[in-house]
Amino acid sequence: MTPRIAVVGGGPAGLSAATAAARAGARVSLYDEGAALGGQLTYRIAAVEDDGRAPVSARHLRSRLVEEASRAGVDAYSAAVVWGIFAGNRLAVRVDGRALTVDADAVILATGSLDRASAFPGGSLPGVFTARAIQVLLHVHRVRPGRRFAVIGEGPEAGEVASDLLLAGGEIVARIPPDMPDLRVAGEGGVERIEAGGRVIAVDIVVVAAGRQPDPALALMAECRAGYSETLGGFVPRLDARMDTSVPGLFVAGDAAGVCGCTTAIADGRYAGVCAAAAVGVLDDAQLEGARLRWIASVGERVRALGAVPDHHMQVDRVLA
Amino acid sequence: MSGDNHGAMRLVDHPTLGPRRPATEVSFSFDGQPIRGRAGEPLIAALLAAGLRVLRTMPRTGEPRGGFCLVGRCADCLVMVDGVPNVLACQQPVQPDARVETQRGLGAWDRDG
Repeated sequence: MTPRIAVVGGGPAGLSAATAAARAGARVSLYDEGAALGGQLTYRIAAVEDDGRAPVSARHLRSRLVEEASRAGVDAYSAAVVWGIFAGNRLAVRVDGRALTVDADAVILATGSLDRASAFPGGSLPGVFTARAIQVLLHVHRVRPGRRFAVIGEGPEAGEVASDLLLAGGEIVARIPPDMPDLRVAGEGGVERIEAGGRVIAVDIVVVAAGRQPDPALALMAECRAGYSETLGGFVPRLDARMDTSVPGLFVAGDAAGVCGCTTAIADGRYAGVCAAAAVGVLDDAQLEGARLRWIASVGERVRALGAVPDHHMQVDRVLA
Repeated sequence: MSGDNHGAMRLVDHPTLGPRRPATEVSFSFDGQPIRGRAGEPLIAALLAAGLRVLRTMPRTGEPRGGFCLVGRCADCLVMVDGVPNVLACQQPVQPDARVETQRGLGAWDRDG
């Protein structure tokens, strides 16, 4: 039987991992919870770097990655939520209203990242959204939820969502640093005004763009060793030089292994796909070494950051027992 | 001025993405009020486009919530659909004649699922 590899997440890392593993000769299935494959490429419109080459539109890159996966023979499912991972690399999947389990010889987690939260008074009022929520609304659903926007945050996400809002005809009435001490959002039954730095500004929508953090939920459910890394954006699984975790046959790539952006996620994904293929025996060590050198050449700093995650294993199972 | 709908609008065209895809209209109700959605979009898109932002109230404090992450993680946008509570408005597609209601607290089942 051809070894089976399951990939969770159909963004840049997941699609690249699936393609690499399928090209190496594994039988690959990919599960993504979104209505369409592509992850961040479905809701971002800013130009993204394409593997060191000239920047391309997210839409263009998305079609290319999806097409490559399909040509490589990847069995890809969208609207498929992987809600659990159990011993022996068994996945619990909900797709088309059905629940099923998937047993794989190796699993690659490419679950991406989540918006970082930022706590301030009024932050839970209707009309406060994350940066990604705004991008989903504007670019996937084509709804602009207000006219006057305040953007909280200073990083690249804040700049990107502000420019997205301007393109959609929105007005940026305030850009606010994330840790402003007197920041407060108020209104009756929803956002009406934002108070910061002694000023009161009328707004329709407040956007929280406080950066991104890896989504480690499935990796932690699998109880792999993990640690906190500021460089990588939060709590991440500890990986060895072959992108695998402390759980046999479990690999992690892309933002889920540490927030890294699109280009690096693609490089990560390709390498993790090759590593998983080698682990299930469809590639030999020489081919794996070639892939490792290419990965290091394209994302050297990344390799160092992943190797430097401290060990803060929580042993959740022991606590519960 | 933003008016009643908080300045919300549907983006028929977009400078980078071009015109939106065509979609058939889907009518449903929210707390008895008729709402027009577009086939394939989630409830929250149609509700926000109509300027409706409060989707649930909290069980203890009664504070309003109206969606935050839009990707099925935060549970801020829970609504009742056809008498079934705890439906994520950001994930549930609009359905013709669906009866969508604000979820008060934990909500209540008014039929067997």
